Amino acid sequence: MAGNTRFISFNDVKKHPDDSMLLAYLRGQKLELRSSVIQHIEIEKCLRCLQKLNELKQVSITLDVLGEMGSYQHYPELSVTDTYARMQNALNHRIPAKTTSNGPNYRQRPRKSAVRLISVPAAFGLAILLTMAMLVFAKLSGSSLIPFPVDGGTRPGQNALTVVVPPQSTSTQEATAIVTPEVKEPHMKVCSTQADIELSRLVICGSNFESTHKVTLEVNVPGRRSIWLRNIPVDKHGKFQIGWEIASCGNVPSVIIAYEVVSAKPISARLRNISFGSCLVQTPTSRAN
Amino acid sequence: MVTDVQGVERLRERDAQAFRSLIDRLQQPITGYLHRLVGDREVALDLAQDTFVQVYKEIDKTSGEFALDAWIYRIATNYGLRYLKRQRLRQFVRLDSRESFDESLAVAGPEDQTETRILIEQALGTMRPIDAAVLQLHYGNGFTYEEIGQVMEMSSEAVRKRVTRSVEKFRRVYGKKIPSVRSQRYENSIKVKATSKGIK
Repeated sequence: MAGNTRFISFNDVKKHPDDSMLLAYLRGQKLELRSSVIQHIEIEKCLRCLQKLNELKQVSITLDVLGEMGSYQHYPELSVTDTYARMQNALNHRIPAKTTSNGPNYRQRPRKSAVRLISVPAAFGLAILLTMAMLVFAKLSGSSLIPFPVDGGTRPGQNALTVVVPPQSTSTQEATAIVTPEVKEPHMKVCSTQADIELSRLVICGSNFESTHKVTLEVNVPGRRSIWLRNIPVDKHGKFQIGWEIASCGNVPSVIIAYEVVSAKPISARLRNISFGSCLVQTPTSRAN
Repeated sequence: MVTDVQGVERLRERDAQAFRSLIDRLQQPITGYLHRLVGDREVALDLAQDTFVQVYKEIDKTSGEFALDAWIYRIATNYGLRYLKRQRLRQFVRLDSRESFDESLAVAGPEDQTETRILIEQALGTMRPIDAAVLQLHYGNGFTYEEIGQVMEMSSEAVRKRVTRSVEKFRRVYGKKIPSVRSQRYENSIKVKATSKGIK
């Protein structure tokens, strides 16, 4: 194991064992130059190191609670038989173990969300790729950027990227549509997936916020004081996502207001009439405005 | 940490009894470790089961003498870190802390330690998962730096430095958390469950 030559001698008053050596000494870990550290602390009684040692001791006392948690926590025994059956099943079928969960007594639980199943970055990358392909195709064909009919889908034999111009459209209307700048007001929407709803999670997605800034949300739940969620990070695409666990319909917010301060100019967006599963909270008129 | 040569051989031969013994011996500590790491009891139970299935699938790819327990903890750690990485893409906070505050980490143990445990878990939850894992292994499972090195595939010296950096980070985060979290409890407001790093 490579030693760190900076700490070979502690006799020089300018040299002290670094914090990692002090912590290793404190925690009784194997340490090269242990005798030098001991001499520096116990014999030379370096005040600086003793002070640091005391700080590390305090943190360690707190963290030692983690070790005590084990004795309080007990978990239901994994069914050895079922786990073993699952092991064999996974091996025999040479398929991912997670898909072999249809055994009679396999521990079933709702998955946390689709996030566990789908790589979000991959989905995001795919979306960007498709958008770029659309743009390139539109540019090459010199046509509108509206690629799909409103009712969705494509006709047999129709290329998925075929530009479809509605019969009533004229080139003038189309040009107008293209040059009209897209409205990029910050806005929020409920974006709970079915999996989220099953887990009683209300997820709010914000878009068009100033990227890399922080957003503050004011959450109004009927009959309660406003709750402030601060420092919600906005990603580089101007989006954020945040979720609540909703114990009952009484916890569904009536209004959510997002505030973002950019160049001292406050930006806000409101989300009203929030529905969540079977809960729908009508926003009082006074709060909505 | 156990290095049982005969046991490993029996596992490689897919001896059912050896696997049963392995699960009996390691299920509680592995689940406890994962529970503290990911902060969700149900997820921890599931990841523990995934860990043992992975052990079964991969054991025959190992060779010679090796630290069985460290290898299993490495698999569990990888599952835990992967889960946390995905979870970090979302940020969940809970409303109405009085209804949701009795988390699985808070129900057991001496009453006066309950809040400390919650604060510790919250502080660890805001740290990098790898740093939190190192602290969990050392302070939670009592692993030495050498053993953590086997789990994380690092030198003892690298572990020593990482543990220290993690302790310093924890100290800073925990120091900030105490007043804010206590005030949140008494104001019956919000518990931040997951990392505040948000969408990256």
